[in-house]
Amino acid sequence: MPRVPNRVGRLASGLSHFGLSRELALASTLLLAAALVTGAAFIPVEAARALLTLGPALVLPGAALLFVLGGLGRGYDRYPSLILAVILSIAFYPLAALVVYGLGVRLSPKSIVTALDIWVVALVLIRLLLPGKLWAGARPLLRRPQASSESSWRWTIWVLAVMVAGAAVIGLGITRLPQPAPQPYLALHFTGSWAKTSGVRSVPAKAAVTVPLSIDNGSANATKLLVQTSLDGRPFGYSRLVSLSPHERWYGSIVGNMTGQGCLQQLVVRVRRPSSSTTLVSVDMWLSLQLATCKA
Amino acid sequence: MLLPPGEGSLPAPALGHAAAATAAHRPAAWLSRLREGSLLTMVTTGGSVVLGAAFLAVAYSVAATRPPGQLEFTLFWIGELLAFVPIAIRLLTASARRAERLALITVLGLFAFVAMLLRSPTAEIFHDALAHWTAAQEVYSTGKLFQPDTLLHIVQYYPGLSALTVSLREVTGLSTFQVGTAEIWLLHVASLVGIFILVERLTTSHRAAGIAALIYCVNPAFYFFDSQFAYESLAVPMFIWAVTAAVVMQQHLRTGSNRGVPYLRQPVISWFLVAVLAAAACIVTHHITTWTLVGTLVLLCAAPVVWRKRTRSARRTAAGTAVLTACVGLGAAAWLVLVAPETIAYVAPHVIGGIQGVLAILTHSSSRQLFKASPLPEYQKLAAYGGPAFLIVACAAAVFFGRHRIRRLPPAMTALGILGLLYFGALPVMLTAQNEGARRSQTFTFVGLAVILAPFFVLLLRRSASRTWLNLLARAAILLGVVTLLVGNMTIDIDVYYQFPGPSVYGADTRSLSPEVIAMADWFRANVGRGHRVVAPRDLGLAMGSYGAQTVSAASYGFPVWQLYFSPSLPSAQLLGELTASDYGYMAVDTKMYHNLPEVGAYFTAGEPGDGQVIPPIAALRKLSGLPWLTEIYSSTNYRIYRLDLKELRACPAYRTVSAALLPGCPTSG
Repeated sequence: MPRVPNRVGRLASGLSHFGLSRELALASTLLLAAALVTGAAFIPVEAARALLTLGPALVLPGAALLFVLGGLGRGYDRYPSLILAVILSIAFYPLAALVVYGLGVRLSPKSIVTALDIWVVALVLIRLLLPGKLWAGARPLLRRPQASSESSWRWTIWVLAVMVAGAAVIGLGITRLPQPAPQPYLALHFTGSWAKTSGVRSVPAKAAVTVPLSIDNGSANATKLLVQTSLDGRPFGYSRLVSLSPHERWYGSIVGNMTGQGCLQQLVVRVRRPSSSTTLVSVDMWLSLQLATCKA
Repeated sequence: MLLPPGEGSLPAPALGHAAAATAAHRPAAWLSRLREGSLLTMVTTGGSVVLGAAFLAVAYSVAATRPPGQLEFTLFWIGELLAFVPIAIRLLTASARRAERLALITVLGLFAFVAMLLRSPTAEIFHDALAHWTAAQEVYSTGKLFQPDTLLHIVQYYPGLSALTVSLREVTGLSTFQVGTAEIWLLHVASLVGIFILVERLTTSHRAAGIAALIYCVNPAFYFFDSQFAYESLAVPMFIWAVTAAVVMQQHLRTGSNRGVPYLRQPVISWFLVAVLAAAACIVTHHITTWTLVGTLVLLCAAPVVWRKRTRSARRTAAGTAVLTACVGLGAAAWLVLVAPETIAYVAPHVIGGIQGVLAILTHSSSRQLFKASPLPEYQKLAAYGGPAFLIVACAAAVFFGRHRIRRLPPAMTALGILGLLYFGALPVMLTAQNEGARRSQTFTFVGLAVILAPFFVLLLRRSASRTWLNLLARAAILLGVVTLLVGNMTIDIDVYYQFPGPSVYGADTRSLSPEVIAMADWFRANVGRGHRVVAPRDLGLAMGSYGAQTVSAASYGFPVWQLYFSPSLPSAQLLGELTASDYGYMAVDTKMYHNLPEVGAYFTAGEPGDGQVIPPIAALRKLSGLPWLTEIYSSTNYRIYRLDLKELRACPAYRTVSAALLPGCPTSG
């Protein structure tokens, strides 16, 4: 069995040197771990918070249950018991979250940590306060088999070494090996209130209209583009030549006057290369003229 | 006990040493000693695993940067086998200690996730994973469970994974993707350790337990489907540990009854509670896994009394298991009725489709060519057929050689054996197009297959131990069979577009998620807002629903949104009415759909008009530019977003670019 770094056991042994029984030492260890998770969950430094909380959070609820069920008794099979504690912890969170939700409380660091603390403290109290005879002769759920009493530290180190070397290789593979060049693209869109338009846009007749636009150059090459606008097929405002660096977003606008007779006119913005007549991308907007004759 | 005491058998440690002593007298004793847990074994096995990871990394880089070919497959399989084969060889040997076997299966579980990690190292890209990621993000942002999920609507009724992920996210401060990755990695290892403990308890042999974990890890879903951030990936390990807890509880009930010790005592109560907690997590996480768990518990409950003499001990064991089964069954039924009644409607089509598919094949009214036009290498296709053939032969041999021992087997072994044999019942369904249910069932039936085959393989290896060449032959045959299963099952489970990165492919889920579509979804969320109702085909819906945080339409014959995309004429009044009533405000279009057939076989959903085999006419796209109730607010090289304003359905533009038939409010001339 790969021996897991048994900090819980070691800390418990340390505490037992101060005259605490094994049960009290284990209980103290679980409570200290719960306090650590509670405190660390509110550390503003994200890396420190993750480092301090992830491991204990994945083990603590299950370990507390195993403590009550006798799973941490003498001779327990460490590695499978650790995995069982993880499984029980993973089972705990969805059920605790359901209870929190049922109580009408929002899922937040505070509510989750409170649920965790209540669970650990309640289980520790059950173990310590209920009559000792209930646990008399209790056996660990997963006992270390006699035949496997061989030292397992070598295999623990082996697993850790393979994990570290494997992680290094995968990390190098992801960061250093050639990655695909993303497929280039061009995007044209309205911005501001024009992007949030609820449909046909009402504009004053014969007034100047400003069309806010944006163009994304989603390629690794610089490009020059010509922006042209038309209103019901007729030119609207002036064409604009736009130069874009790789992966640059251009913001700008086209200004033109509302002309023409129709009450409902279509404004079309097209983007093409200066040397080509092919439209690359285009957007459009339906404009309703604010004219008394157009009310109907 | 199926196995006679021997190497790897727990209660007789002396025999293990005896075996070692026997080995020491063999001519190549020095070699044997060197192999036995030595530094050389550690270095070679560990080095091979790390080298395997390096090959996988290169395979994924090659797939991403070069035109599709066979090289990425070759590198991928070299990488997988470099890790798998040395571990398998060690697990098959008698000399490996229990600690080594546990270490090996831990590394095996960790390594099984590497391919998935390399496929998507920074974000979820698989369809189901994106749906679950979106659900978790929604729960995180609202702080409440049961949030609607438009990408996979059933997920909202099974919040186990979201609740777990969000809880850990709240405590640790990591992102949903980071927490999800850590969870799935741990759960992979926990599954194999669970199988190890289960089989070790049943056979008292850690050698059989290690081989069982090896067999389980070649189930079709282990490397990809159950490695994605999805509810089944969490529920399956819960299933395994609930079954393990139930089996161990049974053993304590039986031994307790034989010795006359009190019925309700610490190990029984403890394992009962472990089983209930794991089952409860399963119930709130995944439907099919829960029902399979209930079925398995029923088998475990029946085993002591149906296939055995009905002794007092057997009756007590069955009664204790019945209490557990009743608790889990009632919990599952209550959840189904009170929380997730829509599950039946969600699951039924998969089951009925599978049955209809089998009937169609039997009546020759339908035929299906497997691996049609598949770019997979021939050896993978061959392995996909070879894997089930190996299982048929191995299981038949196991049942034949073990027929005299069946009465002496632990009842739980009989029950799990029956679960394993259900694999063969699902095989015909695998030949049909609607084989989703059958494929998913293999995750569970492989638990049973591991229980059947692992002790048989150990028996085979022990019987042949006296003849070196026969033993080598047996090992080679088992290794070849397990490797064939690994290759074949992965071939069955995952298509090339999910397995490898590469050039963008229309309608291929993972390969459709280009930076362009993600930029569009991001733009929409940032500029228009979250939670709008958007009509979209399947591939765009995936991006808009997840990255865009929008509510995406689910196409059906009751809500045939495909009319907007497929037809050059106006959609039906019924659809327009539905769109208005449901407040759909936007329509997303992928212009590639007018030039390509979708790789997944549907533009919107299975059963749509044309069955995903007819490219829509380009006129259907052109019409969108001239309709006054559609405003094109976003346009990129391949994608467009239109604002729907159905109030303007009868508006009449002065300048028309579409036919009058598309403008119902306008005079036909002028």
